[in-house]
Amino acid sequence: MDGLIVQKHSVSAGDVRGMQHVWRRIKRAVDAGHRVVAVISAMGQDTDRLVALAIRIKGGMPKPAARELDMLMASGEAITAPLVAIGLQGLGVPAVAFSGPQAGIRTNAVHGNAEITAVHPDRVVRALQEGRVAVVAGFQGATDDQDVTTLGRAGGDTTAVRLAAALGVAVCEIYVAYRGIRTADPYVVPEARVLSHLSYDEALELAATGLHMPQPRAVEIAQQYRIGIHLRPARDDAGDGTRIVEVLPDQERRPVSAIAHQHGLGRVRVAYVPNQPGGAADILEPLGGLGISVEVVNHAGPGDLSFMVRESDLDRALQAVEPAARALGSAATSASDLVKVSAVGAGMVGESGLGVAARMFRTLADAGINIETIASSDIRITCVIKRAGHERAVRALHSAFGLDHP
Amino acid sequence: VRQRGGRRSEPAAPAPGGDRPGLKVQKYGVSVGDIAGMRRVCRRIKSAVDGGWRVVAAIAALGQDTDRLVERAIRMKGAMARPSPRELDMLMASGGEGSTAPLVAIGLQGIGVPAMAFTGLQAGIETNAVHGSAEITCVRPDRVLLALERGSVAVVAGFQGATADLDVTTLGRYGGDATAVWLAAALRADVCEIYTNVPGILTADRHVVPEATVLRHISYEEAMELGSAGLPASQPRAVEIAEKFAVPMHFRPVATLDAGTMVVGHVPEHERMAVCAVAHQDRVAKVRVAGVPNRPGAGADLFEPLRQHGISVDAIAHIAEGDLTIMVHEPDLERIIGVIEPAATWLGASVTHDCDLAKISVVGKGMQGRAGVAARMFRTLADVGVNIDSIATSEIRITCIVRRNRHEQAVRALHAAFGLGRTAG
Repeated sequence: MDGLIVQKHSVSAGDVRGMQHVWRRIKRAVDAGHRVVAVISAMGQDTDRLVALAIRIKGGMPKPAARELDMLMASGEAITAPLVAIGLQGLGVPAVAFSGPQAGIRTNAVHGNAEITAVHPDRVVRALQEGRVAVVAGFQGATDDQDVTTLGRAGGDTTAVRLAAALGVAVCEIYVAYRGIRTADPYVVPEARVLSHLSYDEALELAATGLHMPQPRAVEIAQQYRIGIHLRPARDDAGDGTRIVEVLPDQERRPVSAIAHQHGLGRVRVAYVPNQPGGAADILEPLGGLGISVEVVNHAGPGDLSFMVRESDLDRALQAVEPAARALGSAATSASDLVKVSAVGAGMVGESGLGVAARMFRTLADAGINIETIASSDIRITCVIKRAGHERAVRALHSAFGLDHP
Repeated sequence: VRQRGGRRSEPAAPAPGGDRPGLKVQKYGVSVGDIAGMRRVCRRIKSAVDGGWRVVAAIAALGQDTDRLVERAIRMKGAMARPSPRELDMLMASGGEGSTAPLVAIGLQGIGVPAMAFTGLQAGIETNAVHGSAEITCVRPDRVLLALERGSVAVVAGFQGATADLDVTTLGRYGGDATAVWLAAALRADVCEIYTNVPGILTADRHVVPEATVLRHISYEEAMELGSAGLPASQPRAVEIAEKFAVPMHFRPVATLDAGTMVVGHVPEHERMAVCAVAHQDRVAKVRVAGVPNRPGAGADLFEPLRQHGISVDAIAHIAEGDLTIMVHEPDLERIIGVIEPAATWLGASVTHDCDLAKISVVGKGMQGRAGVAARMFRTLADVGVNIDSIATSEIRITCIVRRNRHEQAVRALHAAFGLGRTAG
């Protein structure tokens, strides 16, 4: 369908000014000759009250039933979407609101975190053909049984991306409360710039790092369906945002796209793990059962094994591995106040990766910063360092990889 | 027939046919924020389940939850005369019953009663597309049946349904009662229980007649007439559907285990009376159009504008020698005059009105073929010095319009004259 765009907006039912902003955004696109599908996400506070009521009334159950909870959770978008449609109609823009099920969003029955299995947007297409804006409640769908489901985190983004794919639109616009994805945290690096383009892979690597970013799940789905994501600032004066695409344009290629960092980490180290099958598994297995997620695992056996956890999980993680460590005739120790600093860039793949790693280590050495642990993927190099001086490290790396200037 | 003290528990379910327990459809009104009220509803449902009944609970939300949403929609409607009804229905259905039904289901699960919540759409409530006051056209409660077969209580969001296009609709005022009755009909339930804050259907308004008693049984026709005549607790449209499908309706108080009122086809012989209740409505006004030309369609010319403005003239309208009198709800008077005056002027007629009136009706199936009910009504009013402004009747109702100042006294006198204060049930 020509001139069709899919936009995703977040708004709270009670926020009339925010609503007005969304209508104007949509109207501008309509006035420019576009046909528009607007996916609406509600802000959490609308459903928080209902969830609190459910918890009060659930009595002896450990938690309210997921199926009924989904009916409550879905009411957030079920209320904001018709309000947005009514507002558009008030501005003279023909609009029609659809719930997730009406928009043809079919999901599996995993309530609270359902996955979209199919999209049949017949009614959306019909509305567009009639010259109307289709306002779709994001974050929700229905099973084949017409049970209402919610899509979990990033549910609204996922709805928008899947609708774009089903409607044959190449790019999905996601309006966000920030300017775009930056080369570093601007609180640490005042020179940090908004990236005009980023690859899916880079976005996924950066997602775990605290930079403003859509949820990884939405990025994965965009990558799977080859839908570009255009993160656009909701504020008019905040620039053009960031496009997340498969391949960066030539002029945007660089070995490193961003320096990310994350603090609040701790490390557990087991002094000796023998080089035999199951050694690492014995150590790490108890952590999964406790819901503790583990990263940057280092083990070049036979020898020591170390891994990182969130600082808040550190004591529990240490206790959990101690029995296994003792059984191996070893001991476990922990360290806190660590920071993970990562250089991420699709351009480091292959030969240039070695150069990037060398430059990263050299830069940190020149800044007098000791590296505790190193981990890497194809497009990321991560160094774990002490918290003291980590901001200096981030600034030095930002500068060394030429990110201070466009 | 006033119930003194309640039974301590629900009577056990009968086992019709011997193979499966009886089925009740119950209708409750709750407010989203009212946890205590919701818990009370959950306990009430549990006591029926404990008594061996299979239960379908139709939940209506109380107004305040959706009022706030409608206000928001009105703030956002911009230049439109009113928010679009289709989108308004989506708001109402999600914010009201769409929230209370799952909460009640969660509350039931919490006290160990397996329960599943359904939207109107999921419960198979199909309606026409008249958003805001849709009519149920068909009910296909497959999923409700499945839940019952699995031993769950089915908690259905009342007041809402969906079109064949799966557009959400709302059923208008008292839509919760309609949902319950339709479900009871489709499921061939043994009874449809409507729970309210009043003890049942009364012989008169207790604010006016403190000795009014709860009727144990009432016929469908009487319940319908009383509903239109102003006695609360029975919604005429829902009763009409119950009669059509021969669903026994049971009006019960939510707060006690009192017996309430059964609405049935035939009132047991020993309870039959000439008049079963006295209903009244104050705040009634009269609009009189004089000099209406005596030609076909003149009446239609007058009423058509009212219909277009959505004003219902539930009242007496009679034409006599070019005079047409309609009774209206007093707060609507100004609006109605504004609509009817131009039409009357166009016909060459004139409009006058009279306020401060009240409408008093006696209702009873027993007055059919029983002489003297009308005479006794007029005599009673005369004895208390109340002048009758106008009279209208149906087969089982006599209505008098009187001055408002003494109408309460008139209601009390009629209640006594027809022996309603001391009836045995």
